[in-house]
Amino acid sequence: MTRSTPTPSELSVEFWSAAAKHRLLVPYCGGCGIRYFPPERLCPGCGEPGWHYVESTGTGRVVAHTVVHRALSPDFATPFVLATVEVDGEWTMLTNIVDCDPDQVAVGLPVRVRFLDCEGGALPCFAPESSAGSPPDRTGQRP
Amino acid sequence: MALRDVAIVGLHATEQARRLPHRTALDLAQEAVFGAIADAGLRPADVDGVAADWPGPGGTVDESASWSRSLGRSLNWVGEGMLDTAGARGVMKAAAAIAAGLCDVAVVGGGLSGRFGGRGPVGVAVAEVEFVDVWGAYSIPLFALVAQGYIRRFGTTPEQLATVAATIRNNGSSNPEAMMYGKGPYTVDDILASPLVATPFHLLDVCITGEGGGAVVLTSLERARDLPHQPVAVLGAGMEFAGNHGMPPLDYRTVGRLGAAAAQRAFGAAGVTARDADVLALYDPNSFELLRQLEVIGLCGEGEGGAFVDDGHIALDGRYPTNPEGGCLSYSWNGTQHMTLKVAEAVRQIRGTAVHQVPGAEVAVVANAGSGTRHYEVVVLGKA
Ligand SMILES: [Zn+2]
Repeated sequence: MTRSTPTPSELSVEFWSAAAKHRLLVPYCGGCGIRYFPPERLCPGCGEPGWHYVESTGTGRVVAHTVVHRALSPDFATPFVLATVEVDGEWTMLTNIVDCDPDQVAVGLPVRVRFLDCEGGALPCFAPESSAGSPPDRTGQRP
Repeated sequence: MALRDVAIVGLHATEQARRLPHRTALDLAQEAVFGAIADAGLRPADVDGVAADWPGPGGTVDESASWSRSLGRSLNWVGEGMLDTAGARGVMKAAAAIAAGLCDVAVVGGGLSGRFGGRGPVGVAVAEVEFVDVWGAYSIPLFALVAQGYIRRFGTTPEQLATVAATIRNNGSSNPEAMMYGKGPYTVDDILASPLVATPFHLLDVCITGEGGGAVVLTSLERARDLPHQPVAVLGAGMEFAGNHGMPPLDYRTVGRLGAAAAQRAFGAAGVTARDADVLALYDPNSFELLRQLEVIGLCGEGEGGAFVDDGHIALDGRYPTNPEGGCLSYSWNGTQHMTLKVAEAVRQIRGTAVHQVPGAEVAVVANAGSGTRHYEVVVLGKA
């Protein structure tokens, strides 16, 4: 089973190359001051193109989740948790909740980014804040 | 001319099956298109507007103008691209073109084979959008994310969702044209006993997958009066998009009420409300999405869908018989043309020729897509 990162677009190449180094980036618009996701050439807040990537705190809360029992691809071991996570108290992304019992996941659960190394880089997943593990600044150093 | 001055005058549904190895997509599309033209009492050369799948061989793949040579004439209007060749969206755009005088007779439809059939037991579509499939997301879990938020907020029970699935699947069980004909009938317990796909959905809560085609023909109501069948007018229509198809992430807060505004516009134009509907042909990729639509089209309040189905309203003998042919849960899901088949079923109901005929049906609501796809299209059809 091998999961992989996507072929990035010109908007997301920086996101994925940072993810490979276990850093979670998010588009930030200096014009209107919002963080948003997924990346768009024009900021969804103000319509201007002058955004850049900034470092996320990597912490968030589960907004919605489902336990997937049937995967489309054999690259996914089931069951796994697909979730919408609100990060930095501001922007949301689709992700997986890992390193916990799927039944433990609930709306509002505090989570922290946990990078899953895979073919082509690393996937930003999230794990319950309470679960043992190092914060993203230390996992950022690749062996 | 307004939208309501346009009528659906012809329809054709091909065979629908889990797999049709003896059929090509073009063969299905051509059977559907020429069948619908013949049903309308028209000749191919009468058609000057086309929004229909062109899968090749021959022509240019996905270009509707490729139909020009098969129809034996030049065209005055085409529609193409995602879902413009199918269902409520295809019908409202073709009707708008006729109302605007861009063409006189339009055909909407097509067919698919060899793509979704045999892929697995359930209908799935993967949005080719970044930040979706890397997390293992596909259509069923994306709808599940929305469903989970709804259930948490309103306390909808698994039995209520299963009631939706059992009701519609049982309509298909006794429809000889349905992919799942003869399977079932199903009880609520049968639905709940089927394996989980993505919480809260069990295997029998989500649509099937298969192959087939369908098409409908539209023209002005004036011309429709001279054609063989009872004309079915496009009384009103609306569409709504909450971002691009499959755009992540999804949750009930952001897309839970998707379609309410479109439905309001459609009913406003039609001069009726959802409560005037005699039959519903709503999109049923899963039990939850159908429940949600009962609320957004205005049959009951937000969060009241579970109680509404408990009261038996969507059953064949209920006040609002829903997907009497078996919907996507049992009759057909074939990529995109199952959406056209929903229009065809509504037209058959109003003509009085459906397999499970709702007595005296005059007004039907047909809808496509839903919360998990971020788009919704709805048309109100009525006896002209
Ligand atoms: Zn901005």
